[in-house]
Amino acid sequence: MKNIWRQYGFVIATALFLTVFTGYALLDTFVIPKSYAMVEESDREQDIVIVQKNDDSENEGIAKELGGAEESDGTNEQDMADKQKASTGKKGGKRGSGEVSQPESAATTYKDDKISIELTEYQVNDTAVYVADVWLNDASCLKTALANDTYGKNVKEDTSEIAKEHQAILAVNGDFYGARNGGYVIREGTLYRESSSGSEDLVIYQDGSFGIIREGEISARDLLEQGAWNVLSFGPALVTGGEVAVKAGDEVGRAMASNPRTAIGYVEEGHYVFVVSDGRTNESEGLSLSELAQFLKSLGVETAYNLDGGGSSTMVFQDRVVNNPTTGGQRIAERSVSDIVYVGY
Amino acid sequence: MTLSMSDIEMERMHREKKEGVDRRAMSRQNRGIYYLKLSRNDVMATAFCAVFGCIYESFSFGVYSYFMIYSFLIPLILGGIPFLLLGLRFLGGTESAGLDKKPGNGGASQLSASVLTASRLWHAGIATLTVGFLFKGVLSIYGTTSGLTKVYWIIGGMLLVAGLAFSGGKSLIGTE
Repeated sequence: MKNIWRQYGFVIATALFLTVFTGYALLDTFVIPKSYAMVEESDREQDIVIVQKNDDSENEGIAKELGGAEESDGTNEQDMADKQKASTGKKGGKRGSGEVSQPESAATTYKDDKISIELTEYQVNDTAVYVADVWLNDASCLKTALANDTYGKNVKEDTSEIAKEHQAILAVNGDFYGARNGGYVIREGTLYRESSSGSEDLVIYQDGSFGIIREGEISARDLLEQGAWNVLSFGPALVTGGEVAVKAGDEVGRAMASNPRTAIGYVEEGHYVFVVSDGRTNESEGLSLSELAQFLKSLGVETAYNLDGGGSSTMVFQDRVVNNPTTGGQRIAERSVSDIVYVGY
Repeated sequence: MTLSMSDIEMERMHREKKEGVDRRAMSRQNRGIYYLKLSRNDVMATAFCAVFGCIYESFSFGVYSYFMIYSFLIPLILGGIPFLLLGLRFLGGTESAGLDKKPGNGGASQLSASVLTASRLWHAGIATLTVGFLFKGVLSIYGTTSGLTKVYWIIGGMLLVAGLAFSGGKSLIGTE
């Protein structure tokens, strides 16, 4: 025994260290939840959002920040007041300004004074693609939400659960910010993370317009100053200026492979499209980024952006999961995600 | 009658000289065999990484990682090839040493402590870097990142340097 230890002790110790450390690293990456901040209601009148930190030692760039920019061009005071009142609506059921008439809803449509959504299913390259055509009279109805209303790592919930908690009429998975250590995270006017990952980001401004920026070229704080309300960091941009922005040869691996996809597009003021495709099944092969971009262009979008795909791709409409989310293709089930983009009050 | 250690040593040297055994050459042969065994183990690790990477990539839905694909190069370039060359170097030119009379088996007990320590540290570095590559590959394919990957690079690099520096690199390449 002693001889074996003398001969192989070093090898055993090395193997033990690598096994234990790798096991811990895998748990830390995929399992162990870390909560950095709770989502607080924004106070537009003061233009300051206080982020409550739960764990100071795990701070990843949380900041006490200005919540919004000055009044944007072309937006009158009444619109701003409406937006302010609408933005204080949370899952407690507070509504926006004034009364909203009784909505008209069916399996594939929803309509009220501020929101109109029509759901259509397409077949594109042997793949089921679900398109939600969204018209908003109030830009503040386009929102984002975090799982468990918590900013952190490995803090996840099903898209349908987050949507339900926020009374979302329509929701898709977001950029899964929690899977990465870098990338701007700005949600509902609050800056959570300002470390750059160099990626292309989608900026949703307070007036509802879209913009594409590259991290590193502008800081997250400057984006807030410019009126950014939500910033999503996944990418790439699919359509810019009405033209396809991703080529078939770009981002080999991710771009060329057919997978479930999620994307969001801006057609014109107040008009958006949410697109989710199935994939990895016999019924639906999936789309490459290039195919997705071509399809979005055919819908007439001005700007479109790719969100987290694969097993995360989920569309929820009126509390019903519309697509067939799957990770490996064998089982149809949602994957827990860290955030969503949704339409609601 | 009690013989001193030096008398015992001298008696053994005379006996071995009579039998035609060159202790220095036997040491070289043992080291050569030892290095070849290490090279064999490194080649097996190379093969494992190559097969593992292939299988993992085949289930990744078209997403691939250079770390996963090229993880096999670490044990091959840092271990398999150099130790094969070292092993052949030490085994060469030992035919006339009469080693057939007392062949060594490259066992660790037959080698100096510095050679063993240096090679163990070096291979611990190879193992750490290889596991780091595989871990980074898994993360890249999933689409996530972890700050803990840098631990593999730091510790793996330190172990390689320690292996080289333990005896100034001489024990490994046999200039002592």
